[in-house]
Amino acid sequence: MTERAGGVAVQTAHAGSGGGEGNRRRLTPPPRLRRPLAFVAALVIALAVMAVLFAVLGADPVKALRAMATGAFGTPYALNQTLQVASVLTMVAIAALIPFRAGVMNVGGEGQLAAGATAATVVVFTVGGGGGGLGVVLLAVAAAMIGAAVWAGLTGVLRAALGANEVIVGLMLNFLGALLAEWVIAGPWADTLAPQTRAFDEGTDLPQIPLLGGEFATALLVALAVSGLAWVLLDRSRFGFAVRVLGGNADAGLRAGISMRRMTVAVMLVGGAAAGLAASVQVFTVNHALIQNPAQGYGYTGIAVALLAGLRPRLVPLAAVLFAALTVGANSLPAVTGVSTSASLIVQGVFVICLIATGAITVRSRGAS
Amino acid sequence: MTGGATPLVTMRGISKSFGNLRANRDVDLTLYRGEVHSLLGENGAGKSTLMNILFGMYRPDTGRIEVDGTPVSFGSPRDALARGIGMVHQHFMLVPDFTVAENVALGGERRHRLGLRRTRVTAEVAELAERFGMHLDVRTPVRLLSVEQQQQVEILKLLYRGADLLILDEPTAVLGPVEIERLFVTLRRLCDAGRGVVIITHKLTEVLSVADRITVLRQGAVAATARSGELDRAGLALAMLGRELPALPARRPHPDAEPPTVLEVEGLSLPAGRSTKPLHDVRLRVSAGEIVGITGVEGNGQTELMRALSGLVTPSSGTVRLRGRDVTGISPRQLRAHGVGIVTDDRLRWDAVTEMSLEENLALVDVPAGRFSRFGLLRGGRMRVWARRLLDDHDVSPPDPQARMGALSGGNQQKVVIARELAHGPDLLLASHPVRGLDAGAADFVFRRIVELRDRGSGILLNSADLDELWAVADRVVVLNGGRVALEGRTEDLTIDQVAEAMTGGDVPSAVGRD
Repeated sequence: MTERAGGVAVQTAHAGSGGGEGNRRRLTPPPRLRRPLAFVAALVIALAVMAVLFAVLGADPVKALRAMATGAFGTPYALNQTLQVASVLTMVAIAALIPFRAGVMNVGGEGQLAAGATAATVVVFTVGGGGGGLGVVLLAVAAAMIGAAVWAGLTGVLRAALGANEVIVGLMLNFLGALLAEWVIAGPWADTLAPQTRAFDEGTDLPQIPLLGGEFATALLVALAVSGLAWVLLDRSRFGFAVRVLGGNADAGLRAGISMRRMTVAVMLVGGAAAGLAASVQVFTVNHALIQNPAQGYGYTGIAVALLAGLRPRLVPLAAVLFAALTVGANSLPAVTGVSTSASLIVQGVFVICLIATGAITVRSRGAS
Repeated sequence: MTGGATPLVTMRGISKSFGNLRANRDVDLTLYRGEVHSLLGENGAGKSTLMNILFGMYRPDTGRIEVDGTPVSFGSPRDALARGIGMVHQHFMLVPDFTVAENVALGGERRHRLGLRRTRVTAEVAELAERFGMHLDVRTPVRLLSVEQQQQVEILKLLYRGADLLILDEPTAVLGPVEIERLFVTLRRLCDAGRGVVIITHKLTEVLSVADRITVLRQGAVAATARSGELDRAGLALAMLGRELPALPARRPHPDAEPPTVLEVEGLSLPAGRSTKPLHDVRLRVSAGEIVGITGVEGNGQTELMRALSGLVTPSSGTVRLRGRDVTGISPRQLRAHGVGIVTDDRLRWDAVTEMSLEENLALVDVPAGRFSRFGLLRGGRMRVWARRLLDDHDVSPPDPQARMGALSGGNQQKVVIARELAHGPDLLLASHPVRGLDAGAADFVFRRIVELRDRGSGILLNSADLDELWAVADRVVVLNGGRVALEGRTEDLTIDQVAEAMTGGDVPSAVGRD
């Protein structure tokens, strides 16, 4: 009690002691409802801010918001797109979530996506000669998972062995990941016109499921499976038990005989594999080639999704759909209102800020370790 | 004393509820200048709530408060401070890198709108410290101070702001016996200077030695009020608990004349760390069926010794043998496999994961060792059945395996930790301050468990700063001073004075008590 931080602590009295906070108590809802209500508040505030923003940019706010809604859910094509983005976001969010639960900040999703996409592409061109059937695709998916896991594992090893800060290492590896993709793009498989590799041969696809228009359904099912597996892994397995102990109290973990080092690497490997799966889904359902900056910011959005889901895997798909809708919906802004698509980024940013401001997502950082 | 004068503070009919919990019911309390008023009660009896109301942190649902005969209504601690009421919380609120004087001046600097007048403030603070018997260099950064000195800084902060009434929440929980004496001297001087003092506590000995007036709370209501001397120990315990505590079972001699040695430590040394003390050539022995107490002034190596034995730090030299087997430097998990139970001195840091459920906390060490799982998947059903039994056996409230550890009171959390560490009937229990911060009922329960374990033939090493506690249960005591064994002997052969001497004495009587 007296040892931590040299025996001195600056603390607010009785913060969060569960006993309520005096007079303010009557104004605050019961704890169970606090987060959902904060979430609704954040959504309303974000919509209001967006409406103002659109008005300032000279567009009719109502029209713009309606355009976003239609763009995200209005047509089968829009719905497909939203669900596809949501699928990728779900897996990337799981990639962030599993290490987060162990107290390891995986912010390297971008780099892991890039490494995964690159690995998948290399397999398609080297093993399949630019395309191939299910065998080549599955091999490429496996390669993507391994590649991304190695990329994430690097961060884990550096933190475990040298005590390097995983946030800084992860961010640096994001740049390296994008450069790795560029390097492969510039290689023998370069496309003659666009800054990307040649497109894969026709038919180099994920297995099709005849639902909602084909391959996106596969992506969706894979994503749901990933979030389900993550739930089992965290809540029902011995591995997850160790993850939660470390995330809750690393010292107690040491005391219980859990190796912080080994687990740091393990959670990064598992998270990286999920990011690799996301990368391969993106490659085979959308790009059919290795494109420049293959992560497209999904690595960062995934973190927001994981936090919005309260680090609970079962809520990740819902949070992912929301963010996907914001992204996809914003794409139809230029056509309808003349507002640029970069408004999409603003919209997402506003939403995240509102989520944090209302307390719908909370970011805890543990002390230096 | 000043019984006939206008009371400093009167609280009448104070009630406060949190949801369904009635923390205070119709409480009356009268505080006088020049008196130490002891607010006694078990954990959860409503002591802190009542004082937080007086300090303006909570508003009472009903009731009124008067200060010097004037009705007041505090919306915040700032209001309370303005009326001369200050509180020292259990968790100190100090800025580690600021000096004592800066910490004291912080927040009180309204008096110097043109900026801190450093030299004058420093002199004022030094003078205050001197006057109330605190030995403090006010230019020292707070992070370099002992816990006792940090507490003094907290008291100085209030005095500097001109507080007439000082409320101290469990001030002795972090102090050793000598430090407690010094604190009481300071409190007495405060009273002599016309201040009023409230100490919140659940320790009967302290109440009897320091209080002029006592209010006992039980389940949120006043169970007794008395002047010093009107109630004895038994009377206070009865008022506090609503029942009498039966005496602990007497020591039973081990059936063997020469009981086997469970733990043998030879020449254990550890260099000093950044915030840890060194150990020098520590030697001790625990036999089967024996409770050996480790004691000393806080910061003389007890913590480090227990950590080294628990496998949390590796000693630089020396050997630790468990039933004759060398276990020096092995991990806590391996120690458990060898039959060692560990209760550390910092539950929230080492023993509990507050975000996890009770069943998960009970299985904290077992699951990583492979129990309660098959093919890597947890067997939740088995874990729950096992947890339910332990929770019932140890009278944990609530006995719900899925309750969050963090939602429990400190006493109940400690019961969970004890339940886990005793679950496999360890050969050796390493327990550090196992009842620190627990109320009398919970402490009694924990000691009963430890005594039961001893009677079943286990060895127990009990690190405690509370000599009454050690004399109640320990067969032998080992006193550490400066990381060395300063005294060792059977409790029945030693007097408390001898122990106090060994704890504080500079020279180590090396010949005494060694074997």
